[in-house]
Amino acid sequence: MRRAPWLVLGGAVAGFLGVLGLHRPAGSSALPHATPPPTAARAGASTRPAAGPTAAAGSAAAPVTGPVVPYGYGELDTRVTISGGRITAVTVPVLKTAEQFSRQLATQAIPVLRNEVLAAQSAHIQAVSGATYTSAAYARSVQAALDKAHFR
Amino acid sequence: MSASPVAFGVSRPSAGRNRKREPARGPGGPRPHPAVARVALAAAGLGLGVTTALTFTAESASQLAAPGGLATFAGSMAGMIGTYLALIMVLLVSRIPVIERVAGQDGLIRLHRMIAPWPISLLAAHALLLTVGYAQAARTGLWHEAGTLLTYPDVLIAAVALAIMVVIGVISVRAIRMRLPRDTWWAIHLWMYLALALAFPHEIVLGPSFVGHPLARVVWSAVWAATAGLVLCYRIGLPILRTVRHQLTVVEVRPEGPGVVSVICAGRKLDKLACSGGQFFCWRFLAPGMWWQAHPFSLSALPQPPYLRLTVKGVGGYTRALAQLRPGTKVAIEGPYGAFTRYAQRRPRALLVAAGIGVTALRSLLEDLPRGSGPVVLLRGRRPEDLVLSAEVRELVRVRGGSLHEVTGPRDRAAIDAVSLPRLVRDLDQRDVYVCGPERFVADITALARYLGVPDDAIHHEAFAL
Amino acid sequence: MSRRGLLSHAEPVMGTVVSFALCRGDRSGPDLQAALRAACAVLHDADRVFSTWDPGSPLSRLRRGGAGTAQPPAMAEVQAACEQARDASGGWFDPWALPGGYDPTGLVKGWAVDRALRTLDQAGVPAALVNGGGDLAAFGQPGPGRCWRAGIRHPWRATGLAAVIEVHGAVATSASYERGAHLIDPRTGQPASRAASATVTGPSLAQADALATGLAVGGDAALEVISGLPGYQAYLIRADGTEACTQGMVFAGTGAGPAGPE
Repeated sequence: MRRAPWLVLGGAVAGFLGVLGLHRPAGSSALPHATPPPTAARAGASTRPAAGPTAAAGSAAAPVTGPVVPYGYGELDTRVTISGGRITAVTVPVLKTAEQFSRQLATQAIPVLRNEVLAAQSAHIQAVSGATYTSAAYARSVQAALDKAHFR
Repeated sequence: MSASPVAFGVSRPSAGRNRKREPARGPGGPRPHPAVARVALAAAGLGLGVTTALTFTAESASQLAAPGGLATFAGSMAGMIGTYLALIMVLLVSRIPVIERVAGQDGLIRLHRMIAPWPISLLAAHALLLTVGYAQAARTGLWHEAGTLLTYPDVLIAAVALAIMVVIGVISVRAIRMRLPRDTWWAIHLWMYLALALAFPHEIVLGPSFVGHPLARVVWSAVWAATAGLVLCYRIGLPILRTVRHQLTVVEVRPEGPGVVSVICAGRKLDKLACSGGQFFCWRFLAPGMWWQAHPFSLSALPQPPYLRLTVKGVGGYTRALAQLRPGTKVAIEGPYGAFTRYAQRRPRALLVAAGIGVTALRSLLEDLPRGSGPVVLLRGRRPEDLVLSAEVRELVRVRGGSLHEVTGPRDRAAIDAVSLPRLVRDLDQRDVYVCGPERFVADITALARYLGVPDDAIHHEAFAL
Repeated sequence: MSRRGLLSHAEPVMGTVVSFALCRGDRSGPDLQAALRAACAVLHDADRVFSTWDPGSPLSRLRRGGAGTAQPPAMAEVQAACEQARDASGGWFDPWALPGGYDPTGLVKGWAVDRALRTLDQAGVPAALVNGGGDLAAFGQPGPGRCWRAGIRHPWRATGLAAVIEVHGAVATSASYERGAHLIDPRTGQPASRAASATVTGPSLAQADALATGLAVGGDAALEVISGLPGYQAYLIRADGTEACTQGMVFAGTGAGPAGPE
């Protein structure tokens, strides 16, 4: 029938837009969130240095996004939200793996390494020590977020 | 011992279209609903859009920028769309009655064949692109990556499935298909079901649209389950049900003309068999050497409970063997199939054209036309004795107030062409054209009708591949 | 205007980005900028001498066999440090056993950052931390009664930390998750990595850098060797996610620490 291609096309467009409309961006679903850091770290967080509250002129919450960073076996979302100069949210990384192997490895690493992944903020650090990153990978790393936001 | 000939004569037509049929004759085929086709097309499009969108939303811009990102995305997209098209292809030939009635078995098979190269090519591209993409991401060579991927059992099984699909694709290429015996080709082709089933686990477990997206997983699994259910139901379940219910057996084999025999079968509850004139069944005669093949033949008359009749011309080994069928042979049937029915008619009257054994479908279609409908019937054959069932056709045409023209002779002397047809049929613009016969004949008449201004939706054909 | 009196700077050099965090104290802005410039110049000098990408660098010439040409004193200093590290690591770090000839890259970055840090100190900066793309060293206190703190990156989660430590001196980490299989086993000449992440702390970043490289290649065997070195501690994350560290390794503010050395 003559109208056949239009029917198919119309249905396809409708289906496509429908899914796009319903789609929630990644990061709010996927892997289960890490359990909160242990109380010792929490206690560290509560004893804020006196300089903290004087951050009155701090900027509003602004997600400093790293796009998905390839780390060799797959990719990791890096999303660090800075509010008032402090990291207020570190999204549990959504593991988008290129191979199931790396997903298995990552999920098995969590319980093995102390049951949760420590978040950079609650640790109150000024630097991250790791394998040497290239200049390109630096831009998307936590170190870059620390450099950008903590020290101005 | 020879059975006495079954009294299979010409039945009396009903007076008008809407008159209820006589109860001895079976309920008649259900009316097709053209809206079904429109809905099915829109739904197919919807599914395609959803599938494409699922792949898009599982991707992010930065993932694309990462090493191997583009190849991986293209591979995922090819896999999703290829699998979706493969499912559509399965659905096209799953003989769902509601769709088959509207589009006709041959129309669906034609569409199936047209789509066929796409899923196989896309799935092969899917495997290649993903291997390339993963190799780039892991910074290894292509072969090494392929080896790594194959260590996942789901991927290994899916690779086997792909190999099966590629083999099926290759043997379906015209040049190769012509060389294979049809039954060999068919047996290999059926392995496609297995291939699709084998490929399913790796989609759900590894596909980026599904990992961590439980809703997508559920929907995809539901679609697969529904397809499998429809196939089981309509390709396997319903035919078995019909066969068991009607319990057909051959009662007589009657010669009709040179090389042509009618096979008359008897069964139970044929008054419940709902079929329209012009439709066909796939017949599987459970005789030694024949039971593993099912062939389509039109009914050459509407069912006259407890009898069914098909009329066959012996052109090959199988059809010639039909002439030797022994009474008492059990018959398994699938059907009825076909959109070559009175429901396809758009215009007030009809022109029926048949050549050779094509008269069978025409003869049963004619029976469905009401009294006073004035059909014009053209029968084409080499010699007068080749026009089998012509006596029955003559009687049927007479009762309906139509006219019959028998055109016999060699092609160069007696042909139905742009000169002779308008002379025989003066009011062609008021008639639907039904044409049935060998492929070449049907193509010629169809082209002729178009040339003479008959619109496409008023031309209906049933081509017999002989 | 900084809230904690810290000035930060990021300098692309040596194929990575070196991050500076300077405590202002009572130093003026221009003073600090001058100190930073001097420190960055030190890094670029080291890059010029030791770059293996630049065929004209002294190191490249040496690797091609131009041993007779006059070498800058930095080369001799690095060579001496390499010998020291080779002995200390029990051969797990051996720049002479690498394909292509003598390659001190596993130590040079740490050595350069050490010198940059010393430049800052000599310029009168009260406290500073310099992170050479993942190997860092610091002196002084970032605030009254506080220490510099560093996280050790989780091998499989780019925004996660496996551990947090206080920085007293130098912290170096070696792993394959950024640049792929670039760590060579000196004993076989083949790429090898027995650790998902290897961290060494100690007084000298040059030595810590080299020892971390050796630890990443040697795994538990190298851990054993390093545990015998006074002043240096090590922390190892194996490929299966289990951890090990030397007895003196101290973690900060996280509650339970990892299991001790096996």
